[in-house]
Amino acid sequence: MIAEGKVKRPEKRRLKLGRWILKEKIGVFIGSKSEDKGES
Amino acid sequence: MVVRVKIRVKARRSGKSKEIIVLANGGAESPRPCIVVEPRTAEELGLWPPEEAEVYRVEEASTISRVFLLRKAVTLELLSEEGSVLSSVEADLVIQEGLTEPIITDITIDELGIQVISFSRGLWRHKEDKPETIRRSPTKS
Repeated sequence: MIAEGKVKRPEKRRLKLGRWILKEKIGVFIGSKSEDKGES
Repeated sequence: MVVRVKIRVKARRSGKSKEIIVLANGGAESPRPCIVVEPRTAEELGLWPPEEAEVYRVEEASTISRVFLLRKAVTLELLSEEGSVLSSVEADLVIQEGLTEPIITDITIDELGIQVISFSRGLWRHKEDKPETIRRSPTKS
């Protein structure tokens, strides 16, 4: 269910959430330059 | 306030380097030392766009992101206020689109020898410093 209401912004302080976790590898990126060389 | 440090990032392949102020983010986890930057910084290092990169899933506090990882692509040098090298480590370069500030992760902080004294006041020392040494976070550029 989506909460209904208004968001009040009493101050301009930015909120940054620092959690950051490098999880599993999901693939390999091959750039277009490599493809041009026939390395894909 | 948080702890930030000045790092010289040296790209091993291109030979290019750049000094940046990074957030020492103890809430960021990686299995090997790494620095996370936005594509523009990677481009200045001659490493973006990559010919080939590993793609990883990253879990953040409220979202899931996708990042590009260049294994052991850079050497990180931790700099003092005067610009001398305190320590260095070989690291992966992680490129994340939309990143608002470069970060280093838990193991990177440890391997560079950064010891946080106060997160709220942005104070730290290097592991080789005398016990009374207190270093302040540089002003974010």
